[in-house]
Amino acid sequence: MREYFGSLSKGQVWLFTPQLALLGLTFLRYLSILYTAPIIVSLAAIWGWLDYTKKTHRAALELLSQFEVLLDDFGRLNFEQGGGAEDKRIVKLLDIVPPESNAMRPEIASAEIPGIKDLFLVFQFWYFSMRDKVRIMMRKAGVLLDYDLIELANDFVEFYNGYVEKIAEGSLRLLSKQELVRSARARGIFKNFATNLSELRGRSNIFLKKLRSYGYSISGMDVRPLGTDPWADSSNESPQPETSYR
Amino acid sequence: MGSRTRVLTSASPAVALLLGFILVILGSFGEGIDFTQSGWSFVTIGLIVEVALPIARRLR
Repeated sequence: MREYFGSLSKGQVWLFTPQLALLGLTFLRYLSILYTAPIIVSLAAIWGWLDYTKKTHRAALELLSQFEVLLDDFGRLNFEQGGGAEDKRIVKLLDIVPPESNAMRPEIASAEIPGIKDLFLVFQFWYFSMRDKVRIMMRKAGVLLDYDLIELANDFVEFYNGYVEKIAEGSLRLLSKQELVRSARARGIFKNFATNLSELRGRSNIFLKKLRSYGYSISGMDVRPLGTDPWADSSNESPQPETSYR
Repeated sequence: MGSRTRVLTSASPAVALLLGFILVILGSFGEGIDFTQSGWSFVTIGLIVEVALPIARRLR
């Protein structure tokens, strides 16, 4: 990468020096301005193009490293934790809280839980493939295309929103709200997830806004917030007085 | 730096040189207003920007 930028700088010097030489020859009246002017302007135009390419690559690289940090944080929160007692992934709730018994028959619930776990694995593979892609792009930064960055950002929005909707909200919808609210460990996991996700969402949306301001035409979608909070929902629900028909 | 700013700063030396040479050539015809001095000023500005831009970027 350093060699690539170095070669660009050298290219700019080699384009600038002949301009000075031609201008000197024009002043000394060895060459007519009618001959030298078009050559000088052409060299300056090529210089400008190299300068623009260099700036664009530098900006793309900066954005890519910001994206890498964002993706790593998302992975640390959702995928890269051990399976032990300290596991604070939202999907862990499926193991510690039983499913809602009123909403569906137990056999349906027991089929839904493995479904979400399978989907979680799909998202996990998606995450690792996206992370590897970012690392490869960082390595081949010299030939980084704008299209790659746009595709990556769109992919991330789809991935993030899909994860929040299908894994996080899907798990919370499936679990027994009463059991969930009662469990202190579940509350700890949820609070950790919700706080970190909200911070991550803010940073992601700032990053997407920055991409748009740099002229990358990514989709108009932002990453969405987590829509379900069983603790907030349970505190909002006013206790209904038990009615007796006897 | 936005994409428009990037385009404008990179294109500015070529634009200044083009404008400068046009003014110098127009001035050399010797009719009406003498544009020669303004033309050379633009050429000088264009060359200074070509030197200054990479240095400024490196300093930043």
